[in-house]
Amino acid sequence: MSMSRFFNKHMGFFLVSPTIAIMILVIVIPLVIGFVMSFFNYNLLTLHRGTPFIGLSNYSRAVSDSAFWMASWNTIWWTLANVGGQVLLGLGIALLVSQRVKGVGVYKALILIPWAVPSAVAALSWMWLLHPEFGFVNDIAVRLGLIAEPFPWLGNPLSAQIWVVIARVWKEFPLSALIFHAALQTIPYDLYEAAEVDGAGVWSRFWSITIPYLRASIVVAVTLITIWTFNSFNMIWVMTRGGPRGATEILATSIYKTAFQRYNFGYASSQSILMVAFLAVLIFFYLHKVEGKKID
Amino acid sequence: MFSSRKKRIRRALIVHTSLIILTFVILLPVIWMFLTSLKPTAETLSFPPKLLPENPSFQNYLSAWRNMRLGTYFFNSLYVSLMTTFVAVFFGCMGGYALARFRMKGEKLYLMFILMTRMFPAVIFLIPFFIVMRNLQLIDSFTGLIISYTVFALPFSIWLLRGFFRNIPSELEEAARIDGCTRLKAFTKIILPLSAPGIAATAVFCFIMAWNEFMFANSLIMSDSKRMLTVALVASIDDFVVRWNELMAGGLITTLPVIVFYVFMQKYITGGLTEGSVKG
Amino acid sequence: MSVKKMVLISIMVLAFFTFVGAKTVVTMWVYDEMAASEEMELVQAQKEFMRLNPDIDLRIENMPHRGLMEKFITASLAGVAPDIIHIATTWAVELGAIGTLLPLNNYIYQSGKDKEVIPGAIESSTFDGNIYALPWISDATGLIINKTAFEKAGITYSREEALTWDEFLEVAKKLTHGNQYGFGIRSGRGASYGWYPWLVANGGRIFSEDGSQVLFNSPEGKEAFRFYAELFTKHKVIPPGAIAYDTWGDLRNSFLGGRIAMYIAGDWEILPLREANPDFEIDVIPHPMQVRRACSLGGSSLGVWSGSKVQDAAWAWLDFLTDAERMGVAFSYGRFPARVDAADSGYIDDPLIMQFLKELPFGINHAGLVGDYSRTVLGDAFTAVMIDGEDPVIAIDRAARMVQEALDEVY
Repeated sequence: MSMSRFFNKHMGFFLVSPTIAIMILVIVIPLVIGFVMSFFNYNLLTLHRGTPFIGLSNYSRAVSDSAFWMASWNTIWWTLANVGGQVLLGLGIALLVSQRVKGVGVYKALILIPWAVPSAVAALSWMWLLHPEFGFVNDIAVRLGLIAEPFPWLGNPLSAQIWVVIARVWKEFPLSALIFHAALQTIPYDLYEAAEVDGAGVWSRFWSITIPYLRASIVVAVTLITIWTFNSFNMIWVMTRGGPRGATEILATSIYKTAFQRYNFGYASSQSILMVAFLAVLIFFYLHKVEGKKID
Repeated sequence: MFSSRKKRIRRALIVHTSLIILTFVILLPVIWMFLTSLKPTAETLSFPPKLLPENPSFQNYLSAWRNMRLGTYFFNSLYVSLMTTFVAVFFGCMGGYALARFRMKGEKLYLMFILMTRMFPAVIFLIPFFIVMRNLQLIDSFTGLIISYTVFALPFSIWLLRGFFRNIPSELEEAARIDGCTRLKAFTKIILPLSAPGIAATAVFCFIMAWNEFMFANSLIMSDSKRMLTVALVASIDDFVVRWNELMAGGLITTLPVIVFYVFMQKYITGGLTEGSVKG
Repeated sequence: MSVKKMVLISIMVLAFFTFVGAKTVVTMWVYDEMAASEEMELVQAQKEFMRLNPDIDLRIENMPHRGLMEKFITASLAGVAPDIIHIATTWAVELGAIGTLLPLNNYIYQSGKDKEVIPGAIESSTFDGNIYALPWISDATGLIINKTAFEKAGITYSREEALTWDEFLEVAKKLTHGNQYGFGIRSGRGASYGWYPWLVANGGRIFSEDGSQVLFNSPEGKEAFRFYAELFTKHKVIPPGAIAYDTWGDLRNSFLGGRIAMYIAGDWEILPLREANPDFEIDVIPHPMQVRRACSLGGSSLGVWSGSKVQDAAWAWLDFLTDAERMGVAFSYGRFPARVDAADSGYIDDPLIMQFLKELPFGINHAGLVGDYSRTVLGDAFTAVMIDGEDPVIAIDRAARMVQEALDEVY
């Protein structure tokens, strides 16, 4: 067939090929390199002794490493808390902002500000808010008599865990709010009218009309948030560097430290692979269960 | 109308009250940032802390701009973010259109692949990625950074745009093509205008992603003259001196373009996301 | 003349000029904004150097301090590191051990620099017999005090005699009243930097001579660890917020805000303190001692990248910058050159800086092969004791075990 017909016939392929090409180069190759590295003892401090092939040693080491499990556990909690917080807050705001009330448009713009702040800036601002002596949180807490003296919010393990979650939920919830708001706008208004005429209360209207329409967007939001939170690095790294005492050490920060403090890139790679495998399984399982079929 | 006037007023009251409280609490950090940015250093560090500035001034913004040399970094970030947005949306349209309109073998696989690429922690990329970039002579160049960002923005970009394109009935295009338009013309004349909201939403997302990014900007850019704004800001917290008031001023300056960009695209966004995400 | 000939000649002329004009390019990274503007001494020195060496094109780049070590490692692995890197003294050993820095032994001995630089500083940059960086700036730590607070509490102090631990504790207690606490420390990773001198002052060591054994949990170490931690847990002379003091700025601001009356830090504090509040009355007294005197010896050094193609030119600049004539450069930044003749150079007239100088001989070597990791682990140990109330002995033994494991992996 002629050139142009060939082109037309396989147009789909031609359109996606630049994307695929770039992604192979920029993502796949580094990943393959990383994957291969995980089977070797690639430690910068022992390079002079060579980089022997050690098969699955790095993997078995990770599996028996309590620090790895600690970080995994923290990551799961971190992700759950973020998903819960962002979905709930996002939903709440979306519901309010979707009401047919005059003047809600203003809030729509204001609510988006946390999302607009770059995560590094947000992290710095929260550090300042939580400053052990001069921070706003301490100021308010002392004035209100909640505490006698300024408290080291980010220095105490439990408190640090709570605050990093709050900081991230604060930063990211607008995205969920947007998604839910968009979904809510597709609900035909007459459904509510009809339901009210039939005597349905606010709560039952919510359950039988709103929720079904939101279902798809909730799945989308949960999936996205899970993936992004699992890997999020910036906020925790700037705020606590995984401390204090590993309280906020998630896999992303722990692996980073394995690479740049222990200089063991082979081990870091194996941990990353395990992490991704776990995340992939989680996502597949979730989507399968929720959608009943694979994501389309 | 739906309900009686009394009910409407009561509902409006509840909604507005809740929103005012919530918005205020949510914006507290930003308000605090702003208040701090207006204070001279002595007031920032007084103990016990003062809430409101006694001698407010915009001096810190000037100092931040000058001392932290934000001007250069600002325009660097702007350039890289805009270019990333442009490229990501361009290729995103191509990819999204292909996935929306053509039955492609391995489409599901391709989508999974796209999603999976975001699942990896950035650190596993760092060194190998750096080596690849070095071999392409793209270290310490804007181009290298733009390519990196585009690659990470593309998955979501394609996914979103595919959603928007799918919502436009293909009959419209068919009709145009029967009338003699090429696919390209049909695309620009019909799809583009109808999916403008979706494209705007995607553009905002890409811009924000590029503007905010830290890890790669920190690793790939070496020269001071090419440094990105977020990196410069975090860098100003060094172990020795932190000028919180200047830092907050700098932080707000860094946030401004995103807000401007968003406001600019505002009217398209909510409309856009309506189309895209609901149908998945 | 034919076109071909003209082209050929032009090419040759161009090539000639390119060659002749080709300078050796030497790149350098500095932190702390030392090359931020034209007026700065480092930039002046750079210009002077290039004037004296017209065949060298020296380019200095300001880099952020945070994450600089990782950045250098990444760059080195990819082959694009700068020829010269300005590093914190404690980084030299690790960076050298992973092969990113060039051993400078030959250069240093041949130029006679080994006789001009403070021996303790050179030792800190040495591992396995290789000197991995040339010390440029040295600092020693001392006890910075709030003079007014001391006067108010009626405490007299000596600028010559170091306080013993018991004396120090008494002073701290007297200074703790109302909103004010006697002493402040950095926590987390910064905690070990502050604690190491106390360990050594009690007769302990961080690592063994060859760096392969952890020694900080010896009986002397346990004593020192317990004492330091109890300042917070038992005697409460340190504010609760100190758990989250991360940077020197946090300590300094706490001091300036009247929250703490004393803290231990180096001469780099004097400039920022004066800048922040010129009327704040401060003084500097010796670092507390126990069986011997000790303080932290820090500072920054200059390293040459192992993959540099212009090593000789790079060394020429290093040699130049650390010369007697260039001492003014370090002084201009409020820092102290790592030279034995710096104290007598006449640049110092500030009595407070002199106090720090007197501490220099007691500076200890912090460097270790897994230095960064040890600091994190020890920081965690302190947190465990201070927040979770763990027994200090258990905490430090565990820390020692973890660091030893890390060392065993690489020795």
